[in-house]
Parts: sequence; C-alpha cells; structure tokens
Amino acid sequence: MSFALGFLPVLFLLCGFPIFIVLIASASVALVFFMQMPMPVLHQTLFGALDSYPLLAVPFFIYAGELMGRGSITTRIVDFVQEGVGPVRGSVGLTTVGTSAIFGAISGVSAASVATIGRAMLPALRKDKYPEPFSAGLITAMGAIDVVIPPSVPMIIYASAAQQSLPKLYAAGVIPGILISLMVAAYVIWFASKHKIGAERKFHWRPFLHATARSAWALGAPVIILGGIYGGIFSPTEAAAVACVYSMFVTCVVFKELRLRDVLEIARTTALFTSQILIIVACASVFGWLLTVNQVPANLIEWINGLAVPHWMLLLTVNILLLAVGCFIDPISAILLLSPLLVPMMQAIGVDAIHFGIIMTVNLAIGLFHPPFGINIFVAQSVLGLDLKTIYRGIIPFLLIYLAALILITYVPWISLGSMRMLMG
Amino acid sequence: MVDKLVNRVETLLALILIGAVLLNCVNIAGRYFFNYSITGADELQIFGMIAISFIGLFVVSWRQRHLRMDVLVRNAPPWLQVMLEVAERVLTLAVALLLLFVSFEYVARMFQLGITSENVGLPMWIPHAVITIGFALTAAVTVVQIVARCRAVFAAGKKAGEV
Amino acid sequence: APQFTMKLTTTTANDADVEWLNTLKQGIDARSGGRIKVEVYPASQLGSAPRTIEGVTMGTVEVALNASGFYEGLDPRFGVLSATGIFDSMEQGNKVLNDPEIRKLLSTYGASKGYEVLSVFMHTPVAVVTTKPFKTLNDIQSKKIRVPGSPLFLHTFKALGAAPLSMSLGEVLPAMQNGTIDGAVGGNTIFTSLKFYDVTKSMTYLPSTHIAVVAIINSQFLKSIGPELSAIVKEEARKADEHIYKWAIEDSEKSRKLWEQNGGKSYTLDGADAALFVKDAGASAEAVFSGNAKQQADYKVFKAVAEKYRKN
Ligand code: NA
Ligand code: NA
Repeated sequence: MSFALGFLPVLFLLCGFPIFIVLIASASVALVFFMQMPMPVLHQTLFGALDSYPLLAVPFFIYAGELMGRGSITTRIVDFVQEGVGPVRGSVGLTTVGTSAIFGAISGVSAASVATIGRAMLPALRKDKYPEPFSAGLITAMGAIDVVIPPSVPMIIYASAAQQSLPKLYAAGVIPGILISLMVAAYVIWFASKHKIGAERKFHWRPFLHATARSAWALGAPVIILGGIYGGIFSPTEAAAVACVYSMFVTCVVFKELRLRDVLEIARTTALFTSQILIIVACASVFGWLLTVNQVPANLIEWINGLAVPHWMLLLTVNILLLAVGCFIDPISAILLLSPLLVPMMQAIGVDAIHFGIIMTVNLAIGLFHPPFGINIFVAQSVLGLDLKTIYRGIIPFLLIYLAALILITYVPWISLGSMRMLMG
Repeated sequence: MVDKLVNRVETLLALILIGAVLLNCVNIAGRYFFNYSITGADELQIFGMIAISFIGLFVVSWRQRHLRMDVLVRNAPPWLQVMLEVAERVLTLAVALLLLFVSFEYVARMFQLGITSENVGLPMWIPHAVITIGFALTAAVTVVQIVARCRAVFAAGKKAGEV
Repeated sequence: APQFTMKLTTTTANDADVEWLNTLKQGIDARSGGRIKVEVYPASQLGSAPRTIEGVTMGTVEVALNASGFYEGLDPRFGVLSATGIFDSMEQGNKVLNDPEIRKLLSTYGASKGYEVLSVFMHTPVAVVTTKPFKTLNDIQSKKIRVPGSPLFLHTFKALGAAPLSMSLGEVLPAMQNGTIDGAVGGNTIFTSLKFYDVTKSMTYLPSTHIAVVAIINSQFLKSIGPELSAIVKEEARKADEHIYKWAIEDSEKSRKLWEQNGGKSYTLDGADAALFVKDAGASAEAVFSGNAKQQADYKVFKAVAEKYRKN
C-alpha cells in the first residue's frame, strides 16, 4: 500500500508525468492491486471533488482576469499605480502585496487570486525589471493570503467541521493576514533597495491625474465587487461572475476594444486553463479518499498523541504534520480529515479552537504554494505561463517569511484572538 | 480532422462557461430586484464547470498542455526522454481506458437507478456522463498520438535503412 | 482479522447522526466477534450527502445517514418525510416511524435499487433563523430565505409569500451577515452548532415540522456477510434507534437552551398563524405530491398513521 500511495507518486512525479496522471495512476494501482475497494469510487470521488459551488470562483475569476488583461483594464490600473506611487523603492512589488490583500477581501479561493492578480501585476513587475523568479514567487505566495483574509473557503469548511463560529474565525484572520502582508512588504522594500529597482520615476500631478481619469472604469471593478459583497447584493462566489460581466461591459461597450468574438476566444482559453487546474483538484481528491479509508491521518495523529512531549513541542509537531499534509492534499480535504481529530487534542492542551483554526489555515495556505503539489504553482504555470523552475526558485524566500509568520501566529495567540475580540466586540 | 473536433469542443466549453456566468448574474438580478430565484441555477453552473474540466481534459491532452513537474526531466539524456515519453503515453492510455470503463459502469448504474439532482431534478447520469465522455475522448487522442509517433519513428528508421 | 469492512458515513459532526452511527458501531463490535470492522466517517470525510448516497447504491460505502430530503433524488417517496403536518413532535414522530405499517412501507423502498432502509428516526425540529424576528407570517413576506433543496420547502415558502432560494450551506452564514439573504431553514441543532447566534438572535420553530433522518445500507453487503451477521447488523440498528430517540430529544433541547444562553430568542407562531402555516404547508404537500401517484399514496398512509398517535 505504501508502495502505491507513497513510492509511486514520487516516482511518477520525478519522471515528469502530468500531475493528474501521477495522482490518478497511483490511486488506480492502489485500488486494483492492494485494496478490496469497489472501483466506482474512482468516478464518484472525481465527480464529488468538483461538485462544489465555491469552486466556481476559479473559472469565473480566471475569465475575468483574462478579459481585463486582453482589454486595457489591466494596463490602465497598472499605469495608475505606477504614476501614483512615484519614486518609492519597490513600489510595484508593494502594490502587488496590497492588491493581493484587497483581493483577499473579495475572494475565498486562492487560485482565483493568483490568476487575477498575476494577470494584472506581472506585466507591471516586468516593466519595472523585477527578476522573474522574484515576481513569480511574490504572486504565487501572496495569492495564499486570500484564504487567511476573509472571506475564505477553508475557514468555512473548518467552521463546519470543527463546529466553530465562522464570523469569529473570519475576524481572527484579519490581523494575521495583515501581519503576513507587512512582513512580505518589508522584504519587498529590502529586496528592491538592494537591487535598486524602480526609483528613477518621479511623482508628477499631471500624468497621475491623467492616469486616474483613464483608469476610472477599470477601478470600478474592485469598487463594485467589494461594495456588492459587503452591501449584501451578492455572495463572494457570485462576485466572480459579476466581475466577468463588468469586464465584458467595460472592454466591449465602454472602451470598444474587444468584440464578441474575442469574448468567446477568451472563454476558450479560460476553459482550457480551468480543465488543466481542476482535473488536478479532482484527482488529488481521489488520493485523499484513499488516504482516509486507509486511516493514514488517524494513525498519524495517534502517533503524535503517543509522543508525550511538552505542549510547545506538540504544537510544533502538529504544525509540521499540517505542512507535510498541505504539500500533498488540498486544504479542503485536509481540514475535513484532520480537524475532527486535531481540534479536541488541541483544546485538551488549552489551545483555543478559533486560534487553532487560524494556525491550520495559515499552514494550509503555505501548502497552496509549497512544492510539489501547490495549486497556486499550477495556476501560475498555466494561466501566467511561468516556468516551473522559475517559480520554485522564486518561492523560497516567501516560504521562509510565511514560516516565520506561522511561528508568530502559533505561539502568540493574541495575534488571532486579539483580532477576533477587536472586531467582534 | 482531430484538430477540427478539438476546436469545436473547445468552443462548446467556452459557450458553457459564458452561459454559467450569465445564469449566475441573471440569478443575482432576479433575487435582488424581483425577489425571484432560479431554482437550481447553482446546480447547473456546477455541472457546467464539471463538464469543462473533464471534457476539457481531451483538449488539454491533444494540445499537450498538461501541467507537470518537468524540471528534472528536461535535462535528462535524449534516450531517457524518449523512454519516459513512451511510458507516459502508455500510462495515460491505460488510465484513460480504466476510467472510461469504470465511469461507463457508474453512469449506466445511475441511469438504471434513475437518480435525479437535488434542485432541478435533472437525471444525474447526464452530468456524470461528462467524465465518461472526457476519458473516452482522451483515450482516443492518446491512441492517435501513439500511432502518429510510431509512424514517425518507423519512417525515420526506413530512411536511415535506405541510406 | 476482520473479514468485512463496513464504512458508515454522515455529513454532520457531534449530532444525533454521529451518535447513532457510533452506537451501531459499538453494537456490531460487541456482537460480531471481530468479523466486521466498522469505521465511522462523520463530517463529510468520504464526500457530500448526494455522493455517499450514490456510494451506497454503488457499494463504495456501506451505510449513509442523512436528512430524508437528500434521498428524494433516489426515490421521490422519501419526500413525504419532510411534509408538515405528519410529525407534530419528536416523540409522536418516533412512534409514527416505529409503527409496523410504516416500517413495512419503508422496507419496500430500494428493493430494486441495491439498498435497504436500515433506520429512520426523528432528528430535530425545523426552525427558521432570520435577521429580523419572525413572529407572525407577515414578518416573512418577500423575505429571501434559504431552504433545503426540496421542492416541498420551496413550494411552501412561496405559498406563504416569502422568496425562497437555494444556496450552498457554507455561504448561508456570511450571506446572512452581509444581508444577502434574510433567513435560513434547517434543524435547530445545526444553527447552534455552527454558532449562528453570532450573526442573528432570532429563531422561529415551525409548527408540526421536523427533520427525519434516513440510514440506508448496501444490499449486496448484507448478502455478502451472510444471514447471521446481517441479522446482527439489523438488530443493532434497532437498538441504536431505541437509544437515539431520547438522545435526539435531549440534544435538540440542549441546543434550544444553548441558543438562548448565547443571547438568542426562540419563537413559535401563535395559534391562528400556526394553523394557517400548517394548512398552507399541507396544501403545498398535496400540490407537490399530486404529480406522483406513489408519493401521493405514501403520503396518505403517513397521514393516517400520524393521526393514530395524536392525543386528542
Ligand atoms: Na479571502
Ligand atoms: Na498543497
């Protein structure tokens, strides 16, 4: 069994086989040769993994991002930002951090953030001559902030699996989200100063006002979407569809840049990206199903429980477990599998369940861009066309920042709980 | 010929995507302005996304656009690359055929049981069948690719023999 | 070593469903002499309700336990269990479900579809949580209310003048917080366990409306374990039923108290409105079931048996 679920996937992965083949072929071998499990489970789980409403935000936001990028919405926003921030070192990098955080308040699915923000910011980062690995790492890693800042699909799943209050969880995610953003921002400033990036430009009122006027329609997109969600007109998933229609309207009717034919052509590209990404999500879920029925997570936790180590060590061990799981399983399955087992264990040593929800979310957020199976990496690869080697290289510093933030969030409960108390009263 | 089919399928998937977007927005407008919701609008959009993902697999396979971790393999010696390519094609075909078989049985059973969806009452074998179709088409293009590859190798061998 | 593995699944956590499954597991563990290995998977660990129900018919999981509404796609007759006016209370409901006539009726479900009904029991009273108090039927006029995906609930709330809609459960709470919707219908325990009291204080119990849950088991599995073990499984299921009757009532009472301890208010409709609700919901049931002869027939049986267990 460990041959089929442990050795084979690693081998197939190293052979450079398509990721979906890596996952589904190993799972099939496990089913056919090692388990007395009816084969229909393959089909059932493939279907079940994608039968999820929040997942719709992925194709919709990719589509919106593509429409904005093919029309001039993206470049208008980029010009506005560049004229506005003036001679600050690392301004475009900082803008990427800021927009990712704002997008985090719109969407609950990280893959959507990487696609949309990446489409918008990558050209600007290139224009300012940021090294490609840095940009790749920045975009993929900052996309993960999406699940820490509310709304967040992983938090919805945690709230229901661990029976915790979703509003409290959302409130508890705000300061950790800001903390991670600030830490990344500090790194961006340091990196830009060291490599002397983007300081020649000076701030002038005239081009800034011109850029503002040119970008008014483009800036309407975030305003309408944020206003719509928090004003109670539509849900975060629906916001993705609204973003598509707004982008169609602005590019086709207001700017007259795209024709209906282009809208269809962009939908074709989006369908292809969607398939590339979601087929991996579906196959990963089959893999997760097999791990569950083989009691792998339960055994791991039993093992940890038997360690009899001090509390701080136990927390560390659980973090390592979550990181390891996050590398191979998507956050939603990971939360479903682990939270019923881990939450009672954590509560027993006095860790608040809301605090632990944030620890778990940040861990799994890291898993979203942690090699090899981070879904954000695949999005950057497919939608942004970035080279895998470039992404892997660029991710490392950001990974270290996230880990540092994770340690703070784990051992300073106030970061989460203080955030909750401040916002919930 | 395959190219033409792939293009048509891709356009169909694009139309499904646009349809889902519009349905979603019509539903928002209906709910907000007219206090009216389309029953099962969310269900239909999800089924559309599932169709895009699985039937799209065939388009992705034909265009050879699969996501993979090929950092190591790219610097491998040519003979190893050829062997891995052969292994990949065979494995893909095997997986696609297995899933075609498993999924066909599943869909046939759904059809027999007459299970319908929660909100629109759509027979569930229809959305489930996109998985069968997706893997059938993927198996077919993999065969076409294997045949084309064998022919190329054979032709090259013949040329080498003549010289 | 165990000869058979039995996977029991549900989508909820820490409620009567999980308690029933755990009780069944203990019972089988004690009596099967280790021949059956029973594994309980709560909280959607093996998939959503529709997938695990399909799973039972396909043999990928052995037992699924879910609210009756989820089985309507498999057999529309399960829809009868959601109808208002059959189950007045948890106690009377369990008596109805335990009646030999109803037992016999339910045992015919699934015969040709590869599953058997293993158990049906009362889970919770149905309540509506709303952002503004819902004390009279007038209070829900034109209100956007999320209802479970059953045609019956949609029809009933439309008939009452509300604007019912379906929405994925995970989005309900944030949608209520932002004001995208005005309320949601569900079992009272789910609202307390998901801590809806952080967002709204108002919960209204609907008269004569309860959630019954259904456990189905794969027929092929029952056959494969042989008559002795299969009898044990069924007997232990009945024992779990006996245990759960009281447990579920206490659990929903506990939830009601917890709601109020967290600042929530519990409402019921007053006499006239309650009668009007039951009448309208009954008319909706007649209308919805009129399209299906089997549903109509079973609805009649249920109504007659329910009447038997009414006090006055
Ligand atoms: Na978010
Ligand atoms: Na991952």
